Amino acid sequence: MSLIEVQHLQKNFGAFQAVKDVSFHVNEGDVFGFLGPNGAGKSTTIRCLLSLIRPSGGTLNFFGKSLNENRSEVLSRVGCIIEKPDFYKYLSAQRNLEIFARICGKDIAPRQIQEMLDFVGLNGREKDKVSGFSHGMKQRLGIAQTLLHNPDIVILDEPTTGLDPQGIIEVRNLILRLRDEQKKTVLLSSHQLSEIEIIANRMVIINQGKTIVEGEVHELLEKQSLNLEVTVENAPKFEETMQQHYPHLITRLLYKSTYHIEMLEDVRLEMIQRMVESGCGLKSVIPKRSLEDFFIKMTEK
Amino acid sequence: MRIFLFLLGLSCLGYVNAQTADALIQSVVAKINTVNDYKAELQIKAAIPFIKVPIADATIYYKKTDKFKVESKGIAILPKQGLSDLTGFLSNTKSYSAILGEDKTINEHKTKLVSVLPSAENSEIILAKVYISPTDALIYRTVLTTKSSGTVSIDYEYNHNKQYALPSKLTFNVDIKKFKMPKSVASDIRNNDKKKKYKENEKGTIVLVFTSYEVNKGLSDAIFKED
Amino acid sequence: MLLKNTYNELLKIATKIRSYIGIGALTLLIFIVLFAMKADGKSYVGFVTASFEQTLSFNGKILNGNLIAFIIMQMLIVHVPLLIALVTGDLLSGEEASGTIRMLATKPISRTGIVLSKWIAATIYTFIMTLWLGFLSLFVAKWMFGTGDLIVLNSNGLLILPEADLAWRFGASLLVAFLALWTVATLAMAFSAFAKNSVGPIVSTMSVIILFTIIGTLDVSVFDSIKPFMFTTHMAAWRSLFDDPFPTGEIIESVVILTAHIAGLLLITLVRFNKKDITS
Repeated sequence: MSLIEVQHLQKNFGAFQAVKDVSFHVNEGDVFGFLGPNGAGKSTTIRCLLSLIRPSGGTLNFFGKSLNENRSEVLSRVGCIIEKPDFYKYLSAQRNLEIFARICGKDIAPRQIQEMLDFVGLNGREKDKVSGFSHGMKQRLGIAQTLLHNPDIVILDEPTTGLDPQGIIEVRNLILRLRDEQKKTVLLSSHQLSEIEIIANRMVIINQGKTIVEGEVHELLEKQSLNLEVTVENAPKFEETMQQHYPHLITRLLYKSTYHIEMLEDVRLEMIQRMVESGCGLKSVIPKRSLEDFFIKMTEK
Repeated sequence: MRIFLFLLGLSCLGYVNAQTADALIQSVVAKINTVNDYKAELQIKAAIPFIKVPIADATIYYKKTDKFKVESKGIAILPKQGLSDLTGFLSNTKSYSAILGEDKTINEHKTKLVSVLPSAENSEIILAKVYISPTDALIYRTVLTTKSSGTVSIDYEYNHNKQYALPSKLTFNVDIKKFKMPKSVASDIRNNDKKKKYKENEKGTIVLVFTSYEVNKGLSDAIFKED
Repeated sequence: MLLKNTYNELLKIATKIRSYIGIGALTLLIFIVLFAMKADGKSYVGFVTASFEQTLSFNGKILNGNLIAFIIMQMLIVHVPLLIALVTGDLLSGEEASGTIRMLATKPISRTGIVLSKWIAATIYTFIMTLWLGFLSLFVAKWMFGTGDLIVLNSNGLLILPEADLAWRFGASLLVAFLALWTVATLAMAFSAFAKNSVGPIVSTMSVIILFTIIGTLDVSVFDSIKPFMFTTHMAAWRSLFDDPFPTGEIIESVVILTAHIAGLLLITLVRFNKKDITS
C-alpha cells in the first residue's frame, strides 16, 4: 500500500518554476531516499508534502486520502524535521517537547516525553535550555519531537546537514533504529548519498524540478555498469595495454596513476591478468558500483 | 386706630432716618458679635461656567474672631470673597467709612444701602455695598467690588438664627474670567464639537444652604488646625 | 486544539524576557509619575485650578489617588501601545525568524488555529497589561494619596466627578482603553504576519500610530472625512467615560470603530497567514 503518493506536483514562485513535474510513491515500511542536486526542488517538494507550501498543481495523497482535504488527520500521523530542527531556545528540551506534544493530535503522557528523551540520548539534559544545545543535540531533540506522537510516516529533510562526523553517525544510527526497531516508513532526503545507499530500499531522483528515475535501490544499482578503480606504478605501460586490448572501455585518469574504468562488460578477471602480465605494476583494484556514480550520471543527463 | 398707626409709622421712619450708616452697621455687628462660635452643615450648589461640579456637602466651623474652616468630603467650590472676610471687615469700624444710600426692597425686606469704602489703600475690597434691614438689623444683600475678583454679589436669607445674624442661605454671584487651557494638558477627544462661545467674563452662581446650626456650643481650636 | 495551542502561546509569552520589558517599563513609569506627584503634585494641581483661583477657592482634597490615576492613564496611554507591540509584533514573525514556524505549521493544527490561538494569547497579554496599568495607577495611587472626588481638566473647563461615581467610570474606561490597546495588538500581529523579523512589525505599528495621530491633530479639512474612522482618533475614547453628561453615543461609536478595526485586522492576518508559503 502506498502511504505517500505524489503525482505531477508543480510549484511556481511567481515566474520561477521550482517544481515542474515530480511524481513518486512511498510504500508502507519503505525507507525512501529522496535525491537530487541542490536546487532540484527537493525542499520545495517536501514542504508541499507537509503543507508548508501550497502546490500550484498536481495531487498529494497520504494513506490514500488527499492532503488538502485531510490536512489535520494526515499531519497527526506524520512526524518531520525540515532542514534543521528549530526550537524555542528560551525553553528547556522538556518544555519544547511538551509544547509540540500538546498540538500533535494525540494525548501524550509526560512519561512518553521522558521515554523519547531517553531514546534520543538526551536524558539528564531535559531541564536544560535549548539555547545551550549543540547542533547535534538539537537534531536528536528534533528526532524526539518527530517520533513523540508515534507517527506512521517520518519525513526527514537533510537531517545530517551541518553535523560533524560524530553527529552524522548518531543520526544515521537513529534512522536505522527507526527502520529496524520501530518499523517506521521513512522519507529521507539527503546530500549524504552514501547514506541513502546504506539505509534506503527505494528512492527517487529529481533534477530541475522533474522526476528522473524512481525504483528499488538495488535494482537501480544493478542496472548500472560495473566500474573499477585501478592504481598502477607504470602509467604509460597501463595506458598502452588498455589502448591495445580494451579500446572500447572508457578510462579516465583520476589522479597521479589512479584510473577509473567504466566496465561495459564484465571482463575483470581477464583484464587483471593482462595488467599483471604487461608489467605495469598493478598496486590495487577497487570495484566501484555506487549510488554516487549513478546519481551523477543521472543528473548529468 | 388709623391715626395711631400713621403716627407709629411716622415715628419709626423718623427713628430710621436718624440712624447713621455707622449705626446701621454697628447694629449688625452687634448681632454678629453675640456669636462666639458656630458649626453648621453646608450644602454647596455651584453653577459656574467652565466648571461642572456636583452638589457638595460640607461642615462649616467658625470661632471668634477669625477662625474659619470648611470641611468637605469631596471637592467643594467656594467663593474667594464674601464668606468669611466681610464680618471681620465690618467689625473694624476704623478701617472704612460708610455712607448711607437709597432704600431698596430685597425679597420683600425693606433695606437701606450702606456704601462702605475702605480707608486702607491696599485693601482687597474696593467698595462694599451693604443692604441692611433697619427693622431686624440683618444684611440682605452685599455687593463687593474687589481688586482681583471683579464684583461679587451676595444675597442673604435667614431662618432660625436671625438673632445671631446667621443666614440659612447665601447666594453668591461671581464674575468668572474666560477659561484658558493649554491644549497639551487637556487631551479629550472631539473637543471641537463641544466648544461653546464664551464671553470674556461670565457670571457664576454659588448657593450655600446652612442647616443644623450649633451656636456658641464651644469649639476646640484643634478643629481649625490645617491637616 | 485551539485551547491547547493558546495555552502554549501563553506559556511562550510568559517565559520570554521581552514580555516583562513591557510590564517592567510600565511599572517604572507609573512609579516615576507617583514619585513626581508625591514630590511636587501641589504645583500640578495649582496649574489646574490657576484659572479660577482669584474668584474661587477649591475646598477638599484635589490631589488624591483618583486624580493621580487619571493623570497616569492620560500620560501612559500614548506609550503603552509600544510596549504591547513589542510582544504582539513578535508573535508570528518571531516564529518565522527562529524557524519554529516550520515545526508549528507541520502540526495538525490549522493555520487559522495558529493565528487565533496567538491572537487570543495577545488579547490576554494586553488585558493583563491594562489591568496592571489600572491596578498600579488606581490602587497604588489611592494607597499613596488617598481617595476623593476627581477633578478632570478638559479643554473647555473643569469637571468635578464625585468619588462615588468613579469606580464604574474607571472600570469602564479601562475596558475602553483595553479595546484601544487590543486594536494596537491586533495591528502589530497583522504586520507580524507579513514580516520575517520582529523589528519590522513593531516599528511599522508605531509608525502607523504616529502617522495617524499627526493626521488626527492636523487642522486640515482634507483629512476631516477620514479622521472619524482612524483608530487613533478613538484611542483616547476612554476619557469620554469621565465626561458629564455621559456621551453614550460617542462611546458606542468609538467601541464600534475599534471593534471593526480589530475584526478587520484579524481577518487580514488570517488571510495572509493562510496563504503564506513558509520558506524559511
